[in-house]
Amino acid sequence: MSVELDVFVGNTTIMDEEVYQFWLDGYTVNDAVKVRMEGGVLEECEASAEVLRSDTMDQYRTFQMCERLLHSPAKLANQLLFQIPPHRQAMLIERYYTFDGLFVREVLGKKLSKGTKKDLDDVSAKTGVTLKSCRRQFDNFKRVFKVVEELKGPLVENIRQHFLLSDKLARDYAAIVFFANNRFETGKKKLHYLTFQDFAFCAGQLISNWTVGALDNMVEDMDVDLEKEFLQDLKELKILITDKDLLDQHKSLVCTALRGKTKAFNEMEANFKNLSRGLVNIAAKLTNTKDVRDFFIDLVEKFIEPCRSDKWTAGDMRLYLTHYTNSAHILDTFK
Amino acid sequence: MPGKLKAKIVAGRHLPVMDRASDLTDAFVEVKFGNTTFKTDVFPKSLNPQWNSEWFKFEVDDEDLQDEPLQITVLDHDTYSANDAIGKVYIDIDPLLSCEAATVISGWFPIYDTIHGIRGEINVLVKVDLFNDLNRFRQSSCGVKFFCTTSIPRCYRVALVHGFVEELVVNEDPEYQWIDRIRTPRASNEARQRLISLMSGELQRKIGLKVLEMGGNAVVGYLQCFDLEGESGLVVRAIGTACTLDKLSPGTAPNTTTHTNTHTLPNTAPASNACNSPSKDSKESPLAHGCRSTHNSPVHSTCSSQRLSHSQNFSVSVPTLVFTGMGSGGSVGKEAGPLKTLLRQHTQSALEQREFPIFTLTCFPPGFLVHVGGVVSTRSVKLLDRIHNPDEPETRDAWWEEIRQEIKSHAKALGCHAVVGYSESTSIWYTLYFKEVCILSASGTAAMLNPRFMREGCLDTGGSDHRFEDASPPSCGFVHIPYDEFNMPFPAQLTYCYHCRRQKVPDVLFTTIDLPAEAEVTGKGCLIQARLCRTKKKAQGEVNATSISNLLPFMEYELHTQLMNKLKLRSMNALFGLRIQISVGENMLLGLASATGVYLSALPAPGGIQIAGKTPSDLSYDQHISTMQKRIDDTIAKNKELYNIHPPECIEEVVGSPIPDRQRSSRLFRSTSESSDELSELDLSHGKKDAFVLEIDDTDAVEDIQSLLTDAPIPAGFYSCNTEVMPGIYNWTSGLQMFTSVRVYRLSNANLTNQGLNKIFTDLCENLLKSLYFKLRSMIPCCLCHLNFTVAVPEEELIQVRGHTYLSTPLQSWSGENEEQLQFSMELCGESTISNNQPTAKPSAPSVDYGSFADRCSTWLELLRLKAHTIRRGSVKTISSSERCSPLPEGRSRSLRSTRSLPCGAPVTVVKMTPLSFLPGTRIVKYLGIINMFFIRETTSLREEGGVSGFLHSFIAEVFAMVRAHVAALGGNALVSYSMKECVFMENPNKNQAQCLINVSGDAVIFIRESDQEAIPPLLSSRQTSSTGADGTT
Repeated sequence: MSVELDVFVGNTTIMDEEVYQFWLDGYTVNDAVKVRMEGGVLEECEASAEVLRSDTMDQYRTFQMCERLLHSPAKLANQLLFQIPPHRQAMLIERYYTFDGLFVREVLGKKLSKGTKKDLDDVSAKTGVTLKSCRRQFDNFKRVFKVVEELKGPLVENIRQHFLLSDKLARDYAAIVFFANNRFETGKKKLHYLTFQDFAFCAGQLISNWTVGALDNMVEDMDVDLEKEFLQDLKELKILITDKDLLDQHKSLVCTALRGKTKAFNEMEANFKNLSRGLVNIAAKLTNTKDVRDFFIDLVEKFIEPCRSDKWTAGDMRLYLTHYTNSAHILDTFK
Repeated sequence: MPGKLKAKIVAGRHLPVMDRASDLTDAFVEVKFGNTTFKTDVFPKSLNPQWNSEWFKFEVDDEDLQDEPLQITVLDHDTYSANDAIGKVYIDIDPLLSCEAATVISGWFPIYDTIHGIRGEINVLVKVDLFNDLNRFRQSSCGVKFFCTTSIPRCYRVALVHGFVEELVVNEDPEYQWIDRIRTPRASNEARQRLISLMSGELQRKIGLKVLEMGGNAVVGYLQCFDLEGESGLVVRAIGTACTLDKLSPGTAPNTTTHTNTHTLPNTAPASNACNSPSKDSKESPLAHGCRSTHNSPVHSTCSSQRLSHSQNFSVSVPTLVFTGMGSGGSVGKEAGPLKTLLRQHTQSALEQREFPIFTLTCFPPGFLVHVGGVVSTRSVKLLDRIHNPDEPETRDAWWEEIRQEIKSHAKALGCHAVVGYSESTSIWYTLYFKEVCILSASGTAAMLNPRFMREGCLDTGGSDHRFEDASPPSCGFVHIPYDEFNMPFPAQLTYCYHCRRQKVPDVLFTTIDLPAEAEVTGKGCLIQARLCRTKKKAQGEVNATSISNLLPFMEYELHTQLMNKLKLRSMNALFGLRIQISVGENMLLGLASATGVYLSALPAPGGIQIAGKTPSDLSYDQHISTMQKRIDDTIAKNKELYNIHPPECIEEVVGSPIPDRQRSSRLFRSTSESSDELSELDLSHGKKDAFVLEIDDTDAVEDIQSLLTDAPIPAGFYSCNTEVMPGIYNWTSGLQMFTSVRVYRLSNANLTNQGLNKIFTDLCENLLKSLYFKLRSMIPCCLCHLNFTVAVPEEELIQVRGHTYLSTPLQSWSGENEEQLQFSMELCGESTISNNQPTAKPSAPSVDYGSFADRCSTWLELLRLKAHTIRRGSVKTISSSERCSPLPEGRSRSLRSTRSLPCGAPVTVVKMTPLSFLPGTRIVKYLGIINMFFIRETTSLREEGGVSGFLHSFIAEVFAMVRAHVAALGGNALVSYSMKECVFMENPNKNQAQCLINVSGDAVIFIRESDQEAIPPLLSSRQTSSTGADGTT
């Protein structure tokens, strides 16, 4: 005797969040059943493995049918096929678009192309995230990227509106899109210590300060691209390191402000010229796409590593950069 | 020319991509009614076209209005080749023809294609202008209201019950062997859908005409069925109860209490007899008197002889069985007490002129039901022959007529003049090359009815009626025997009623009706199922029919024994909602009986079950028996606890004892039935023995007892029943969910014995139940109401079990422990987002109320408020419902519920579906019309669609979606009395093909929550005034 057909359909679509997570994580039905059995649902209500399997299959089928709708979440609310209460809809969407921090670190800044998708099995092996889940996450990145690419207006808001995501998740996606668009290199060994959230913070800063949208909300361009004009203007900073007088003047202003405020003062004073040179050089090169990609690696090599070797604290860094910027504003050239 | 139908095509959305090159679609729409077709312009290159067409007007006869559906076809324009069809929408405009129902159909409908399923949605507006022809109700039956509900609809009162109406129409099936046809399957399936839609329209109109002839204005308990007789044709038949209903004005609307759900009618008896008032019920506690331990199963079965007529139709044997009180052709009423005779005379006249005193109702207004005799049922095996002349479906008519006559005579034998809770069904076995075999079944409950409801002008006469009422107090009256105790049609143990001590009652009562609201129940009820599987030799034609009819009585007998055993095991003494289904397959017969067992306080306590061995010589054997006995006794004790059955201990009372001698002699007097067969008299009473004795001298009986004990106990926190209300539990929250589950099993071993098959079948049913419990584990404590299974044997070695149920959570003052448990489980499933901002939530409710419902409800409330708002502002009237469905962002901006906005237009109206005739905790304020839909879906890429399960899963989901859309378009928010009457699934895995037919029906309604009543009147009145104004009563 074997079950040929087994379906269970409710007028209001029933979903088990636990099973949904298994499905999202790319478990096969068999694996999910195994995990659920170990979880002790069976003892809870005296069900047999058969019952559990049938339930899991039902849920998986429902999720598969819903997946098409999840690709354009706005449809989920006004489709007629599944009657799902709004808060469940929100849960479905949010979970579907949630991604693994480990996985995203692997593809951050890479081109969201077929080639990258082909390499996902390596990523899966490396991160321990199932291939199926990797593909879903990758496709989510790509889908969001494609939709917002065409849109005008603020990036985060666009993502939030089109994919009905929470603010947090929308910001994370904005970072992913931003990185993918500018192809920032994040995979180098020296950058490994940085988490996705670190990069997401940087992306947030870059988006709100360095893009076209950042300067003028009315501009009919999106804020995925760094503003060319701004990058061009950055070249003028070179004067800070090429003009000896200016360099000294800048240094003395910074040092005056910093004196007595930090333990690392001596190192700061000693390294000022090197550090300033490093920063300005990075800024001045950003008109080259290639150098944009290396932005983070350069930053780490030329600036962060020297500071770290001098045992600066985070507070030191903040202090230094604040005064570095403020002092520059006082210089005559920049008035 | 009495009507003008107007349709407007507004827009489409989510259309499929029809042009691969552009990834877009050039869509246009054809609107067809009868032979007239209109077209919209092509809306080029869009998946969300805005046609905004003019009003297409069809001037038609009202006869056509009733028969024909409005056909809307969405196509993709193609300059070079033929236009491709995207899909269709059929709209039944019948609800618009009754002035009290909906006034406009407006909303988003899923565009359906038999191959691709739902492909986008279309927004349509439909209206009907009926010309004010004084004679219009004579020409057709427009205006007759139809209800699937088997009780008097909630917002009506019954003035008169006219009686049984039936009709059937026959046609040739446009396609029988779908795979082997030359024309494309799609074309033939579409033809089939259209034809059935037409046929059911015609059927409804014809029934309506009969109702008008009888002087009624409504059909209640309308049951329409399809018989897909394969090559012999397609039969659409319907039965119902004709009534005259009066709409209740809001002022007099009865305050429906949520717990006694059947009491929605005002007491139609103007005298309002004291004994009718529910308050008295509570005062009359059952008296503790005699307790009998003797038990006897009052069942008697007859099989009339096989009538083999080889003329044109082969008809085999009508084995009949009557439970709890039946004799075939037994002499009745000659020695009846004067009161009964009077009653009989009184009602006889009212029912006499009727051919069939049969009622499809299962729930009755108080006082309607006087006495209940027992279940009467008839089965008949027929060989199907091609229907030669579809316009004269005489054969089929004659078959059913014969069966109804039989039912009627059984009822008479029970001393009853009417049959209530009546239903008919068929089971057809298809073969490719031979004539098909079909079992026609009918069953009902023999009853005595109060004549007050039958005759015109009798409503206000109190005098004689009072005497009947006095004779049988309402809370126990219906269990009193209607037959004469000295000349009983079957052997039964009679005792004086444990409630009133004045009238005799049987020891066990089986019925097909719902538990009457006035009945007093001890403890809680539960679902009882008897399952049986019998092998049958493969055969064709007459041989097959004969062997089936030979098996039927045995199956009935065994099902009955099982039911009786299980009932005793649960210490209960009455069954309600009994439904026995026997399905025929190529090499087996399946029998499934479901009912809800209860302990009626007025009936004597059931005795235990005693096991006896015939050869008690062996010591170990004795031991074996005593362990078995112990197990049974333990189970009974456990069940008593479980169902909370603690009847007052009674002392044996002399007065209560029956008159055994007379009784025995009465059996001798009983006239033998017309049968000449040796099987003719099956005495199901198991002899007259003290207590219920099971003899385990053969393996069969051992098997029986084993199965009795292996029925898995229902998990804690769950209650189940197959009736509308759960006996013994009265506090309900709003119902939550409706589920349908379909399973098909393949038997791997074809050479199974009866016992092996039985075990498998029982396991299947048990497993399905277990699955339900498992899935709903997070909802406990909850009750599965209307839990009904349908079995079929679609192919050799395949068994299909289909169940649908409705879940309700009882709202009770649970102990603290339970409450904790509940909250825990809610957290488990993450549904703890109870919206506390719901202004009307009762303070006691939230702990049991589920977030999902509260959410949905608040959505609905918001919509109501929105609508009320717009109407008050003076915006246009009937747009309200389209507004709800159109993608305007209004709904969202006003949302109180969530902080997150969903920028995708107004949410889709939540439509609840339930097989019950009501929604617990709510009040139905308006019936919008009947929904009766038939869909066919097929696929030629079965594997790609996720195999058979994937295919059927999405099809059922699609059917639900289409039903919801139609309800919403009528302006409703729920479908009550929902049923899926047909679900025929066929597959051909080798060709990667499958096909499925589904028929669903129900009543579209508007409901409001009990607690929100104050908030409603402004809306409803404004809605009313804004509509036709014809209906100012809601």
